Amino acid sequence: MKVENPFGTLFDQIASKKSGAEKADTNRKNFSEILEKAKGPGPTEGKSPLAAPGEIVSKMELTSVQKKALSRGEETLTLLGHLAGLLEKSADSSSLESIAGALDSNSSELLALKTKLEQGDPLAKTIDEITVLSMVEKIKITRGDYT
Amino acid sequence: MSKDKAETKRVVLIVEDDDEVRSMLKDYLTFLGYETVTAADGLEGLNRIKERPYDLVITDIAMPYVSGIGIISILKKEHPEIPVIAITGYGYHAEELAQEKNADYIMGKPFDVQKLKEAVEKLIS
Repeated sequence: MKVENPFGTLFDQIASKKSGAEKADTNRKNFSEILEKAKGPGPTEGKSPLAAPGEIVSKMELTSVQKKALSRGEETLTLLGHLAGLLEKSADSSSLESIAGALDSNSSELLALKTKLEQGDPLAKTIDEITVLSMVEKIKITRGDYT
Repeated sequence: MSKDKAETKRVVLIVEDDDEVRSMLKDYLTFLGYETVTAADGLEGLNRIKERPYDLVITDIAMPYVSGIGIISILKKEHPEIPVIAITGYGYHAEELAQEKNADYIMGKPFDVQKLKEAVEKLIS
């Protein structure tokens, strides 16, 4: 009984896709020529305006202060989202007070972190926006707008 | 247990969003003779803090709405006398932040219950 090797069949199919012309072309070239072709144009031939993947990754590396600021900013936005959800129902004053306290604490920390950012860091603007939003909501809670 | 002994029970607030870890901490601390109060997230934790005094707060770091870092910040500002144990499951800067915010003890997950017991006894005494 003949048992067909499924892998063998698959390899055969892939191999058969290489047309005769391509196969002949490959045979004519040596390995270095094929490698050069695969690599594409070199750095001197038509340099791409796009950054190489490695360059993008290195530019995204964050400092410790940026990581902390992003973490606190994200937490604050989640808290504001939770506040919005609570206000759609009926929020108890205790929860609102806790949220106000947390918003106040987060804002203070974000502002402290902002002073440690390098000059011109775009994160500073984001911190300002989150802080303003937080403080407005905190004032609304303490003023009794939501109760 | 006598009434006097029950009245002198130290109270520990456990703020942990993971049900299993919270339940384990509660059972273990109850077994050790402490009274426990639990909160399933940071916001509930802040509510519990306002309700009564505590001898110790154990808080996870990564939690929804208000993180353990937020809890520690507020707690150290409003109740600096209450010791805090921070439990952190993810490295990067959580541990550093917990130290910055003056957590009295920091434990990584998974933690050793014997070390937890020692830390609790040391901080409560």
